[in-house]
Amino acid sequence: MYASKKASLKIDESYLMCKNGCRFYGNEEWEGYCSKCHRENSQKRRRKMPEADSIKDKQHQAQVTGFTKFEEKRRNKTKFFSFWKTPNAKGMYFVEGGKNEAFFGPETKEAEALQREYYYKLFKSVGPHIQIDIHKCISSFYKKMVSDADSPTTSIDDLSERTQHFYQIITKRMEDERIYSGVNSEIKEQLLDYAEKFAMTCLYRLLFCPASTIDEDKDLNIQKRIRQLNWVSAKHVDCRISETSAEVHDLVYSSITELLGMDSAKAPQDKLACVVRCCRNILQLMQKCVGGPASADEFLPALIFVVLKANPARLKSNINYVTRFCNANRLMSGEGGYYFTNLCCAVSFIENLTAESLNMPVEEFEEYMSGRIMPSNTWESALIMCESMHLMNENFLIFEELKNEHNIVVREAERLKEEVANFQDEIARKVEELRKDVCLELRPKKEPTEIDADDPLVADLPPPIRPQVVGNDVNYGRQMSPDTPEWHVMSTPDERLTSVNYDIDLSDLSGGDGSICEDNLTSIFHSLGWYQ
Amino acid sequence: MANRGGPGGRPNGTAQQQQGGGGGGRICQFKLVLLGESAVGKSSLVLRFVKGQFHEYQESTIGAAFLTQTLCLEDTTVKFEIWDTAGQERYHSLAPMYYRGAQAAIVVYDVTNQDTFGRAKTWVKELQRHASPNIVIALAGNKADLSNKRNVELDEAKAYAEENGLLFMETSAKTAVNVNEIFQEIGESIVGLFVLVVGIQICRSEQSRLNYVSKIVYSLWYRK
Repeated sequence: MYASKKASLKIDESYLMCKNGCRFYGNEEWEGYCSKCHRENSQKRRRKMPEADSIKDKQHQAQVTGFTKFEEKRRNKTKFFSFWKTPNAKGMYFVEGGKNEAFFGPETKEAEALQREYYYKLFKSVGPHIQIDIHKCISSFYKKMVSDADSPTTSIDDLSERTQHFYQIITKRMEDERIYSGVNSEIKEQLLDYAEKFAMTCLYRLLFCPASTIDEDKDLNIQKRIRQLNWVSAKHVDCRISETSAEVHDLVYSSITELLGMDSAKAPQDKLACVVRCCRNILQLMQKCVGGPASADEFLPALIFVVLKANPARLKSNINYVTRFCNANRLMSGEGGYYFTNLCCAVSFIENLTAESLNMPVEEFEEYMSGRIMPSNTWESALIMCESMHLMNENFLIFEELKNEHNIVVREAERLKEEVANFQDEIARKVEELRKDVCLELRPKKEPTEIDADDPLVADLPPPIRPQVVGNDVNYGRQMSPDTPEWHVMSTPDERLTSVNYDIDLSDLSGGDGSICEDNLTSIFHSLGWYQ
Repeated sequence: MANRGGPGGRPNGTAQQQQGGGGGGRICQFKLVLLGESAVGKSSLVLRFVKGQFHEYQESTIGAAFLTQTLCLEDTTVKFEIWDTAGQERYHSLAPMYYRGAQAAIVVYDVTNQDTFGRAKTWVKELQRHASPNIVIALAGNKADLSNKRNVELDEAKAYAEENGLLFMETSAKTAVNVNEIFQEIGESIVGLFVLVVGIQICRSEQSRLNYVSKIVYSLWYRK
């Protein structure tokens, strides 16, 4: 035993010397060379390497180190999450217990949030076994994708193919497996969406604008191109946006904001949702400008205009990412698919834009593109550089409107005045006509006679005839007594009429002719259509 | 069963079939593109079909660019997804992006304008060459209510449609003449085609496939 231990400790001295044989001691860290020889060696190697190769190597190294870092982080998170995530997981069924949360790499936090959100929205109703099954599918897909993305032979198209395959597998699984038999098709769609959202959120860093593609260059190109095209106005693309209305401005801004928001969303379907919201705003604003439902004839130019004014960051990368990794069924049909197709069309139009597509002479187009001339009325100048001018323009418009309204009011007032005059004339004319037709008999106003007054005429009258009592009629006294109700019936109508006030002012109707007899008055009113 | 995209490939351009929940009826979803020069009344045609409106727009109708409408044929419910395209000449080159994967297309022209008929012909040619091979193409001569200003003769268009195997109708979005009819006819022919394709897929052996096709051809022959 002792002998064997001694033997293991015994190392040949030549093993410790520098490989170059410079009689200095070498070190394993310096690949068996002494420090001096190692430095020389590595310098020589660096000089030998061709320029392109070294860049590629560096990139590869960066990718690898990036990935190892990511692995490291992942490992750290495993330790970290294992003790603080468990209370949150209470009641939620995560696959493989606590290990799972940490599994999804740098996006774990977001994945967690998603899980929590969808637990209440979706999984609570469908039950734990379905949740576990879906997560199992996702995690196996995730593992495979991470290892695939690592190997240099896999192109982005392969990854896209694999992702689409994953969606199909889940769809098929939901149709075939027994545990999904009680789930209706709407929930199945939601589950599929969830799987897509979850997996893509976790894989975002690997799949969005990967270093193996030239997406980034394309992004820069289109960005530069749009910047060059900043002089293009709504009129150039045949877009009927009224640039002065405040309401339209707000809608343009909100659609620009939505389009810019696409870059910050992670799951393809969330990016798609941003596009949909942007396009709905555009439709709304076109409806305001056109005054009816906007068709594609109006919509596409407006979208092009918005894309030109928004100049969204990483536009190409975003479009490619959605095209590659969004469920193909969602992209081929539905509202989202339609709007996304339109966005692709808009981008393609901008990329291939020529003088001809703007209906302008080539020379003018070239001059604009080179920046030698600037049109006076670009969107930017209207909005940013000359904000006050713009405001003034708007105020002018308001004034114009006010002036118009004022004119209308004046005109109406004139008309009303004329009408009143006409009306007066007409009434006078009609009354005159009626007076010709109907024979008016003007009677003096009756004065109530005062019985008790001393009338000189009364003195001339013969003394009243005294009633002669012929028989002893019992009824007589009662009948004629003013206390009985029948007394009024017996009284003359003229006496009753004394209480009616004849003092109606009709001077404006009859031309100041004084009073008119009662029965004739009614007939006049009838003929004028006043009497109701 | 043609379920939504078998593992064999991406489901581009295949009609989607969903088994109705126990009701027995089929539900088919189709994508239909509208092509034609601007101002021939593409969107009016769709608005008439989907909302029954013409110039009397309700507030809720914000756009006519993308609309859906469901149509019931005998035992099948057809859901149309109608994609409008920009008709201006300058956007012509973008059209393939729209009609890619479409099961049907309506090429619209204006009966009062001979130029639009010429454009319609180029659309048809392009569709036949570049769209999916079993796309159903319909030709619609819109604004038929303005027959006193007619510049494209009915017989001329009819002959052209027959020659190219297109469905053809003269429509009027204004008076609603033939609007529902043209969509109905498109629906019927896609469903017919779809049933045929699915049937062929179901048949296992070469012989049964042959029998099936001959049966269909036979029944079609006698229906005519």
